[in-house]
Amino acid sequence: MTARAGSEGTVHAGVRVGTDGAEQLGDDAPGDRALLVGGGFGGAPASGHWSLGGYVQGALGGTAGAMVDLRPELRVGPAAWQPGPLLVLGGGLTLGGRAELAAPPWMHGIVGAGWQLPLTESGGLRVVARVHYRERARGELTLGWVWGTPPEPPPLPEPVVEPVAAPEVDLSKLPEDAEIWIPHPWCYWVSRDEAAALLPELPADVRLEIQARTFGAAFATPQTVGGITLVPASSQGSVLVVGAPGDQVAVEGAVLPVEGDGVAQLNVRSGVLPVEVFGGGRRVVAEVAVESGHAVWMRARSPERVSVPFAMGSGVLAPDALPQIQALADNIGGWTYAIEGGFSPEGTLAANLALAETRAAAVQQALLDAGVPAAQILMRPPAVPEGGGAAASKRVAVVIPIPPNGENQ
Amino acid sequence: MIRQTLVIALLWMILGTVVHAAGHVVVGQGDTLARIAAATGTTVDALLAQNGLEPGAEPVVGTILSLPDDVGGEERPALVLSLSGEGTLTPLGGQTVPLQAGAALPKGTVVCTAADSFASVRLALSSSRGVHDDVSLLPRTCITLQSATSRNGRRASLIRLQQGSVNVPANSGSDEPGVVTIQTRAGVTTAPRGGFRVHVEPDAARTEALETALSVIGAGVEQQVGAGQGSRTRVGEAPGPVVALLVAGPLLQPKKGAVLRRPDFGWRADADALEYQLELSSSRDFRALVRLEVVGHPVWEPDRLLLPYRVHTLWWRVSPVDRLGFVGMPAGSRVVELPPGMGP
Repeated sequence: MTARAGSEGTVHAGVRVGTDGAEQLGDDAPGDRALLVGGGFGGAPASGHWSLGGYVQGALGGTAGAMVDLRPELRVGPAAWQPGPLLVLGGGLTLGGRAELAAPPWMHGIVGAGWQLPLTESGGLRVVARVHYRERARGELTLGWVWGTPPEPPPLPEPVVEPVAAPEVDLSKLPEDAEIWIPHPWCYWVSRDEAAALLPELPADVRLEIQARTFGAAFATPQTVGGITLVPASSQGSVLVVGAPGDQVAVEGAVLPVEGDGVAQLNVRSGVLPVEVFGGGRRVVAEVAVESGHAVWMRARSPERVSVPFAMGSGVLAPDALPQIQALADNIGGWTYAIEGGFSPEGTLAANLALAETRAAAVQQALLDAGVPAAQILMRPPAVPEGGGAAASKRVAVVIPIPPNGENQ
Repeated sequence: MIRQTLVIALLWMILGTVVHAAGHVVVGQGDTLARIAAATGTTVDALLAQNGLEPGAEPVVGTILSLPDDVGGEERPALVLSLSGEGTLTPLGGQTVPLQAGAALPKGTVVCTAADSFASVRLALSSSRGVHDDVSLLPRTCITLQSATSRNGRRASLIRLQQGSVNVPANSGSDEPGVVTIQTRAGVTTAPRGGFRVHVEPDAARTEALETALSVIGAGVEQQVGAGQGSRTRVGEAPGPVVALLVAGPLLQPKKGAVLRRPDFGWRADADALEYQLELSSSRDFRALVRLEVVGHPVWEPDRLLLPYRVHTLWWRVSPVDRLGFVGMPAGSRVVELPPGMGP
C-alpha cells in the first residue's frame, strides 16, 4: 500500500469507573473527588487505518494530590472521516500524586475499543471504552471529537489514447466515371473524387452503392475498398402510377393492373420510358424520366364521362362515332360502362324517352361489337334534360365509367 | 440587488448590441469602433486598417466589418451537404461548374440552384464538438459565401443572398451560438442561433424569424424581430413594421407514418392564408429539402413527383402564407414511409 499523507487530531473528555463500582472523577482513591482534565492527540501519517495518539490526564484536589498521567496509545481503526470500530492499546506513566503512586508500580496498561461516527466531511464523534490497569482494573469511557484531513487522492493515470488511424479509402481503383451513393443525410450520387472527401464522415460499417458505365467484372460483386463495402448498384428506379381501381398500366410491353388503392408499383430500368395508363375509356400516355435510385409518381386523372353524339331525331349511330366507340372498348380496363340515353327538348316526352333508349341501345351494341364484354355494360334509364345549354349537346348517349368498387360518377 | 443591476448595466454598456464573432462584426445600434474593438479583442487602428476606414470614421448601423486575422478565427471552406436537382458553383475568379454534393466552397464562391432544385450548405463548423451551422437554398437561389469561421467555439458565417430564398435551421441542440448573417441588397439579417428564412423580393428582402429572435438592419436602422414575427426591408429604407406570422393548422393526410402510395396531402385551411407552402424533406430537421410547393388550397395532389427512394423516410410540413407574402410557422411535421419493394 502506498503511504499517503493524512492527519487527525482529537479532543476528548471522560469518566473513569473504578472496580469498586464508585463513579469517580480524578484519581482512583475510593471516595475521592478530583477535577479530571484530559486531552488527546494523534496523527495518521499512513493509510488512516492506524494512528498514534496520547492521552494526558491531570487531576487536582482530593487526597491524591496533584498528578499527571502520560498515556501514549496506539489506535487501530478508520481515519477521522470514516465510520467504524477502533481498538486502543497503550500504557501509562504517573507523575506526582501520592507517594505510593509516584513509585513503582506506577506503570499501567490500557486496552480499549470504540466506535467512530463521522458527522461532517472531515470529522465526527469518537466514543472509546478503555480498561485501565494499575494495581487493579478500572473502566473508562471517553467521548471526543475527532477531525482529520483526508489525503489528496492520487492523480488519475493519464488515459492511454491509442492512435486511431483514419480509414484509408482508396477509390482510385474505381472507374473514373464511377458514382457513389452517399446515404443520409446526403442522399445523392457523387463522383468518385467528391466521395473521397465525404467517406471519412461516414460510419465504418456503411455499404455504399456504386455505379459506372465502364464497370468491369471486377465490380460485379461487392468489393471492400479501404474498409468500406462497395455494392454495385443497378440502374433502376421505380414508377408508381396513381390511378383508380380498374386501371391497367403498360410499360415496356408488360401490362399489369393497379391494386385496390388505385396504385400500381413497378421497378423499371432507369431512363425515359413510355408509360401508358388505361381504363374507364381513357388512355394516358406519358414519357416518364426514371432516375436511378428514384421513384416517380405519375398520376392519371380519373376518366371523364363520354358523350356519343346523334343527329336530331335519330337513334342510329353515326359512322364518325365509331372511332370513339372503339377507343372506349380498347381502354375499358377493369371498369364498367353505364350507358344513359339523352334527348333534346323538341318533341313529346314519350317519343323522346323512346328515342333516348334507342340511342343507348345503339351505343351498347356498338360497344359489344367492339369487344366489350356484356358484363361490363350497365344500362341506365334516360335522363330528362334540364333547361339551358345547346340542344345538340343533349342529343347524345352518355357513357359513364364506373370503377370496380362501384363508385358512380 | 442594486450591485447586480449595476454590473449588468455596465456589461451592457461595454458590449452594447455588438453581434460579434470570429471573422466579421455586424455594427448594431449604438456601436462604435472603440466598443467593437473592445468586444472583439482588437484595436480601433486594426479595425480601421482592416476595413479601409479613415481615422475618426464611425461605421453606420448595419455595416459589416471584417476582423483582423489574429482575432478572426479559423476559416474553413463550406461544404455542399446535399443537392436535390441541379445547380452551379462558381469559385472566386474561376469557371462555373455543375454543383455536386460534397464540393468545397471556399470564400467568395457563388452557389446557385436551378428550378425545382435544393441545396444544403454546411457553413461554420466547431470541430471540437461537431456543432455546425447550415443554410438551405431553395430553387432559383444564388448565394455568395463571404466567410465561415470558427474560433474558440464561436462560429460566424456571412452570406450574400443575391436572389431566391434561404432557410437557416436553428441550432437548438447546442449551447454555442453560431451567428449566421444574411446580407441582401436591401439590408442585413443576423441571428445568433439560426431558425429563420430570408427571401429576396424585387427591391426588398423579407425575413421570417421562426424559432429565435433576430436583428434586421436597413438604411442604418436596426430592428429586433421576435420569434414568430416577420419584417420586410425595402432597398434604401429602414425595416418595415414587424408582423405576426400565421401559424399552420393541423396536418390531415397522409397520416403519421403512413406509406406514401398515393401522394395526396391535405391539411386544415386557414381563413387568413392566401396560399400554403408545403415542404418535403429527407431529414427530420428539413435541412435536406427535396420538394417545395406553393398551392392555393389546403391540398396537394401532384401529377408528377420524383423522390430518391433510398431515403426510405420523408418528412413534410405546411406553412401558411399571409396576404403580405410572409410565410408563416409550420405547426409541426409528419413522417411518411416510402413504399417498400422499390429498387433492386
